[in-house]
Amino acid sequence: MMGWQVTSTISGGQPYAVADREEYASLARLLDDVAADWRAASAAWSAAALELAQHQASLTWCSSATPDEGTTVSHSSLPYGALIQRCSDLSVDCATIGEELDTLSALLVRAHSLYEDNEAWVRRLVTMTVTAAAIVAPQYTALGTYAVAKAGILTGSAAEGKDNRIYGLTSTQWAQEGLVRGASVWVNGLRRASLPLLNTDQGYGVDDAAGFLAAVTKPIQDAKQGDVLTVSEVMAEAVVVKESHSVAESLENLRRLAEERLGTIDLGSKLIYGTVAVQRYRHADGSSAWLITIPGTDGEHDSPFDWLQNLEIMSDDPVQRMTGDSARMVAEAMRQAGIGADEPVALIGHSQGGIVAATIAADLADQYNIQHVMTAGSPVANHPIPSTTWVTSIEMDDELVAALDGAPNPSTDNWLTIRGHATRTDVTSQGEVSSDGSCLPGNGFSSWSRGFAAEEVKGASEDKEITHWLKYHQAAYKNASDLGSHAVNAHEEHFRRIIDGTLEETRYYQGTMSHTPLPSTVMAPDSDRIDMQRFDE
Amino acid sequence: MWITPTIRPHTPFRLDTAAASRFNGRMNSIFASSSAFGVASPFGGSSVFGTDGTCSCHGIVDASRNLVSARVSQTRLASEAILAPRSRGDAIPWEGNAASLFRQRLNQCAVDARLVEHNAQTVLSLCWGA
Repeated sequence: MMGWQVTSTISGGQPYAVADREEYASLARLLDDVAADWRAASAAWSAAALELAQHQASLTWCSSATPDEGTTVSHSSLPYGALIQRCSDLSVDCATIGEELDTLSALLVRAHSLYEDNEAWVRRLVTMTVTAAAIVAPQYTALGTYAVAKAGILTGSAAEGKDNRIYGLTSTQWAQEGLVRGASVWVNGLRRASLPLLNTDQGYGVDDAAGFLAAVTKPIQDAKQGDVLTVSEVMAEAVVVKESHSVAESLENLRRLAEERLGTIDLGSKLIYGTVAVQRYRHADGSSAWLITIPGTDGEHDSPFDWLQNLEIMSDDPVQRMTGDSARMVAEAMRQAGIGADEPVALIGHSQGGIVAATIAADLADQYNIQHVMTAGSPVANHPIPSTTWVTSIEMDDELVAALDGAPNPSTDNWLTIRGHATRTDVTSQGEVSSDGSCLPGNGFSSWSRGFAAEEVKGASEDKEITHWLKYHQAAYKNASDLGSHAVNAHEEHFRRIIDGTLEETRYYQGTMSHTPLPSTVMAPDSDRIDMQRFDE
Repeated sequence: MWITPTIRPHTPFRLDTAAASRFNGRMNSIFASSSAFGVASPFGGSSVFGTDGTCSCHGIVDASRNLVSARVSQTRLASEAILAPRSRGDAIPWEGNAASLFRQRLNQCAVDARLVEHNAQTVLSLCWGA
């Protein structure tokens, strides 16, 4: 049975000391050199086998010879057949050792992000080239993109044996940021009634364009959903978001909440769409810390996490961002939960939930002590998150959604990005979601047997599917954390420190959009926590 | 170059396979001797035996032994070279699952390298009839 695995690369985060980095690089070069020695030895043994075969052939003449009469001539030979076979075997053995050393060198390089700068440079160059093409010749760029996508679909579908258009995302993943950026320049050009010029500010105009489009779509959205946001605390009849003491556990809780509220899994909680979780942790010194778990777009007709809200919270305008229904819903949930201004807060979100987390961190920095933001599959590169807030972003290279910011994430000490790449693999662990709803990626044996080159995606479809699902981000994080990267470890440790201690309470808040204020239909344990408001009043 | 079909005699081709062979100069000199059949060898030359009455097969066998010996030396050097990354791999500040696997497999590489070196030695022994 076939499944999928994810290989991660790491960029940004706490840098290594120069001496340490040089030591890793030096060892990687040494491994490459020794691997080259073994490959050369392999080639030499292979050539030796051929030469010995030539020697053997030439000796055929000799062994068949009849010495001249009266002349005593001695002959000598070797067991050429055995020799040639042994030389061939040695060639294979040497090649195997060379390959193994190459693999180990690649593992060392990836674990310590030794090629990070080069990879970033190439990616930047490609993005700039595509952007320029999209500005100068949009028709040809669109045509080329269509052709590349179509070729990817045809090739992938042929390999899979059935039509699968997701391969179009994979084949164009290298161009997605540049295309988004190019399209944004055109949108901004229309907005300003001027020729499109490349905007070289931080957002390359993508956030500008998102704000412009949101201003257009907001009235439509309000007409459809209404602009009254009701945020109510709701009771869960089963545990969905459990106690967490690590990023991996928090990601798993995020997936549980996301899938439970959509009905993909049934934990019996009765939670529905538009729900977020707020947890209070009590540190050993008695102080409180908070973890906010925010799932992504649910697309429901009266949910603050509908599709068009994504545009608002990607805007370059902080007022527009915070009037986004999903952002103000989470802000209201945080207010109702009673989070203190100085109490450490960590936010974890998937897709739109990650954008909301970045928005809260950027725009409510004066109200809360936002210490860490975890995003999975969220385009947040353009959000002005304070440098004191740690950001850990997980993105899949062909999920498209994470590329909608049109830019790579900032690569700073406090901003770490884990980028996953999915490939097909044999399945070695069970893919089903277990009875407690857990769906942690792979397992220890699976990871070790793969040499940590990739992490199996548990529960992945046999066919190619969109990698925006959280299980792919979970696998990406697992692979990255297995690498023992200093940067990943530092972010993991920072996240853990915030939620250190014991879980004191978990509250769930549901947001509902309407045209007029709703009577509360959801019972909460404390009616004071039920709130209805128009955020912009 | 186009060759126009013609019945006109042309300059004979020079068939010097020894010059084009992968053997070094010493080997070429071996093949420069004639075949045992007393006819022109494909390697060139015109005489079957050396002037001392020994067959050229001795030279070929020597060349084979030298060839294997050179490869064994090369393998030994590669095997010794693996020791440096192994010791440095143990010393670098790297912890975690991948680091454990890295060190274990690097150690296994060193063990495999010694085994390959040993196997190479047995090939050399085979050359000398041991």
